[in-house]
Amino acid sequence: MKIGELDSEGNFKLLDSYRKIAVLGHDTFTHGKLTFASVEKVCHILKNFKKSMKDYHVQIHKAMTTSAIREASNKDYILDQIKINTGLNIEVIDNSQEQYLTHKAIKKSLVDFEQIIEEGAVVAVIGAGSIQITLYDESKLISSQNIKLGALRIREVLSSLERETTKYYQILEEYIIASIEDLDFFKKTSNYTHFIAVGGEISIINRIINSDDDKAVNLIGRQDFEDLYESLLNKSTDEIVTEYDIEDERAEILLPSIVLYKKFLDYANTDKIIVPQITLTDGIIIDIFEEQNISKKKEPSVREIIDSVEMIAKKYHYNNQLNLQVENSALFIFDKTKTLHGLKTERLFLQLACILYDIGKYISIDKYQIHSYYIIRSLAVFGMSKEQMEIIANIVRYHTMDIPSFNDENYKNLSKNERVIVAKCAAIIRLAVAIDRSHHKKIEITSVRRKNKQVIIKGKSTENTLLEQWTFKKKADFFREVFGLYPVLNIKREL
Amino acid sequence: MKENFDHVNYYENRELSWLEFNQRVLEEAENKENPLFERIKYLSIVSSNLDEFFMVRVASLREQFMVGYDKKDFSGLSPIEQLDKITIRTHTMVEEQYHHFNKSIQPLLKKNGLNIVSVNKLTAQQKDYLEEYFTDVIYPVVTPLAVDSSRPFPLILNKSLNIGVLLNKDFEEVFATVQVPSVLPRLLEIPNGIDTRKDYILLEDIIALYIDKLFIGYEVICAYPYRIIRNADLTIDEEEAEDLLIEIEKSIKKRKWGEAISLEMSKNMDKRLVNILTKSLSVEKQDIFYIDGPIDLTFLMKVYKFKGFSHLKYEPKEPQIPRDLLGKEDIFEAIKERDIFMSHPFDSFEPVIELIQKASKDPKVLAIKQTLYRVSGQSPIIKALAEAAEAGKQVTVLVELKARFDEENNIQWARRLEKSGCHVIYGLVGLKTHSKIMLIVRMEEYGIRRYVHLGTGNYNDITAKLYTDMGLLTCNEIIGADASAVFNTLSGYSEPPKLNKLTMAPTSLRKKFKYLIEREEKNALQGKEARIIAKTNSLSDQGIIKALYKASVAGVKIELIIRGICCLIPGLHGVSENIRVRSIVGRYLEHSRIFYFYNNGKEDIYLSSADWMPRNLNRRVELLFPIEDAIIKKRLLKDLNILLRDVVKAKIKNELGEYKRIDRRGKKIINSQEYFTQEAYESVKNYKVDAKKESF
Repeated sequence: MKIGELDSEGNFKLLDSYRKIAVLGHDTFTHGKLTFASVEKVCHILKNFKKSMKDYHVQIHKAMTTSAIREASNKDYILDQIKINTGLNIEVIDNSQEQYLTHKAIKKSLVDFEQIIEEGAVVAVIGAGSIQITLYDESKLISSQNIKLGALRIREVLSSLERETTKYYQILEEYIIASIEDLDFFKKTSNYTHFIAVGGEISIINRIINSDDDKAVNLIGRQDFEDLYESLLNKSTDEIVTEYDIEDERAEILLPSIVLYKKFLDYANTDKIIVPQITLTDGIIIDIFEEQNISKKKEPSVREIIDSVEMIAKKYHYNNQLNLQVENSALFIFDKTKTLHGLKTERLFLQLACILYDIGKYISIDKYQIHSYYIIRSLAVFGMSKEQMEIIANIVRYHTMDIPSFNDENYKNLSKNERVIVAKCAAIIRLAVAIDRSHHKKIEITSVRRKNKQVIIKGKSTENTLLEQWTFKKKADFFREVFGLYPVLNIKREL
Repeated sequence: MKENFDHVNYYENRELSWLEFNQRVLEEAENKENPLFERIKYLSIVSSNLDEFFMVRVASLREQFMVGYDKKDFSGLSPIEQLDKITIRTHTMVEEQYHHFNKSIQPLLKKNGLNIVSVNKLTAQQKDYLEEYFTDVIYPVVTPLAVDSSRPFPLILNKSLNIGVLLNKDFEEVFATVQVPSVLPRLLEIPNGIDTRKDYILLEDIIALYIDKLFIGYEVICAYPYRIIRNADLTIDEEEAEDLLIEIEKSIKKRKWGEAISLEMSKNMDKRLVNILTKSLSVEKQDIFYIDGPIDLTFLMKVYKFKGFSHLKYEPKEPQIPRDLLGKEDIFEAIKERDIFMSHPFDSFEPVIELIQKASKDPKVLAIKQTLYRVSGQSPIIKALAEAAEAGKQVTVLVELKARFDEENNIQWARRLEKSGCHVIYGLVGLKTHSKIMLIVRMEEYGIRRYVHLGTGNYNDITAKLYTDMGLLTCNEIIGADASAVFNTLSGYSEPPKLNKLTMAPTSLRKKFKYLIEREEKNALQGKEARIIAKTNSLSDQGIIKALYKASVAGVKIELIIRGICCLIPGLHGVSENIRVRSIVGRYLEHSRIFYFYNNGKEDIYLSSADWMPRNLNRRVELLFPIEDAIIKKRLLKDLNILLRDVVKAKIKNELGEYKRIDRRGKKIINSQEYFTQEAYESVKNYKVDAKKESF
């Protein structure tokens, strides 16, 4: 838990931090659910945390949990128990949200972050159960991938082997290489200037190498790292515990971790590792304060989401120019009909839907909206939750002629509120797609106005737009069904 | 061969070294430069010190011996060898003590109008007076207990004074015992018709005089006082203790039953009584002390408090307003301006109490957190903390229940704090919380600000007037964050974090000391100037001693100011030639822990709650904090220099382990404690003069 405040200038200041270990991953990963004892332990810790919040008269708090509870089959029951015992509402976040928050913290901790991502950076976040690799170049997010291969997972898989071989690290190396070599970016050669590493174990590695020199951001020289790597390979867990004075559980996963970092460092091929001393909690607290500030600071993160979605879409032969036309039209209509639909932040859903709506064509043109749906809902997008991606997938699913129906599992499973969002956005995107039916960017929309029972969309064009007008009419019914107003397309022909 | 400094000749046994400290206290009793009543106080302290030593240290060695544990200590002595040496040393010490009491103190007391009368010198009139006192006052509160086949040997309470009586009933010898009631004053004034002299008689003498009145129908053969010391060391298995509080309460009850460790008896005691007592209490011959005079001289502390003898005591001194706080009205504002340093008892401890009191009422204060180890009975701190909790502030108090011999007292006020709504924590399992730290969280205009007090001594307004301790008040943000982290660890709310300016035991303090000492060693080896000055109560940790020996060999100049136990032997050829050890035993109990490292000219100074003992570094929560404010640093450097120039109350330890007075020839006569007292007085006086000047 971290507690912070905004100072008089609105800057965030960390006041206190608490760290208490309750190992839940073992319960969930091996038995599929949390035991009562573990829940009790968590409640005890959280009660104490809550008491501490009183010391600072904390105004706003957020409690979040990740995979250990997310993946537990008795998740709902546990959250309820925690709520009853501690009064805390725990928010279960998925991996993308977790990564989004972690990156927020990384960004905040690195003063020269903008410069770093401009020059190109590999960011490796290695957790107990998964790894997230994110690539930046020319200030853009190139790719972000999640691999279910954390240090603890590896350790668990291979632990039985340690006793059977003296060359444990070789097997470890082989296993790790085999697991990650298929990753897209490993196939290409890279030329990144920076390597940023985050995780519990890199902190330990940092402590060993930089001894007590403990700053907010530390640098580990490549040579130092490789020296430590060499010497760790030949040490047993016991030796590591005594020599470096670290806890048993952490020593066990130090070796798999350092092998992982080594692989990513080799890939990034930089002369040093940047180690920001941050955790997910830092991201959460920054997020809270940003929400408080509701300032411009929110803007770049939306940009990041869009960047990363575009990157994903490119894999499916996404045509930037083409989709941009649809996107512009859709957003134009969305912005001009705010009083009609009453949506705000959902604009991003619509925008992402426009980027992704035809990626299903990568599989087959026939019923591509359904393929698109399946691809989108399986994507892990930086900063977007699973639920949010499901909404976007549904918007795309109904952007053609299909009418949302309770016979569709995908639609039925949405909440009432989510179904409304899907319908509204789908209605808008339908019109936007219709307006560029020929893919020739013939029409530029100039205004959207309501007139009696009609929504008049005016545009101009230098070409014949008969196809577009015809398609528009066909798609207008759904819009009327959703909004109760009939959309009309008026194109002024210009010569 | 590389010297590893393990040789048994390089170390002094810690028990024997402690006895030498008690000897230095005894020497202060014998020191004619000290006022008479101060001398009897020292005499009393020698006795109470020895009591505790037997109850805890000797008892522990005895237990080790009983269970067959015969591992030698670093000076090469097994438990039984230590016990043998202790027996010899304590017997001569007690002899010296009583010799001095009889030949020197008692005549001087008489000369000064305080006469302790023996029974055979009583006048008929005085006897009448005493008989009446016996029947009216003593008789109702004593319980004579006879021992025979139907009545087993009774439980003799630890440290209680008793009278052993040999009776004759129908030509059969019967043993009986009477506890001298502790509710009555040990010394009773008896009228003598003289104005210039007061006569007193010891309570046990009165009882012995009229003992036959307690055993009607028996013939009293003889009656002599005796006293036992029992094993009082308290060991509870915390891992199994569900509720520490209950365990300690139980253990206090159990303590009355500890094994007898030593037996004091009148030197004239009848042989038959000696036999009965040694057998019944299962005491060995060497554990018997034949006392030539009143048993248990701790009653002299009561005498010290008699009214009308202030001319025979130190001139009273009042703790002064700390220099850093002169002219400051708001203590929060003063701390905000700069760090405040206090050197008690020269500087008053009041500001710390005031700070807590003020915080308890200040609406801006959100939370107060504090460790409490030993507090006084009517502690104003407890009161203020309780009031703060009642006022709705978050108050967290870390109470150390295991402060030896104080548990009963501690439990009471811990309950009181809980009642008022404080969050009372009883420390970490297996670790005594010895650190002295207080944190006040305040919501100010520009956000949260943390005020921290760090000290070398307990939050005890009484001992703050008697012990030399130091304290720092600061609102340094990094120290504030560290302080929060320390409390989060102590409360068990968080794992031990990485601290920035503070160093905590048992997690990292030992490492830090090792690092600091080795850095000097390294500098010395590189031909740089290297110096260590350390002031602690005790030095008995082998790791530290070894590091100091190594540093000494490398050429580091080491000055140690160790009041009590010092197992390091200075001046050994090829080992410790660069180390000097001195001990200061004066009016106030030296208690501050100061550590100075030259650090290639940077001159780092730290204060701490920890001594250089294994228990402090391994089994206690202790804190070390740096002094970084330039003005405070300068003052501390000067203070250290004064301590090193003390030629009045300091003694130097030689390579034979003896403590010798310092040759004063050609030196300025400095008594460091007097010097600091005067300095504190003068700074207040000068301030007042200046303030007056300004007002004109």
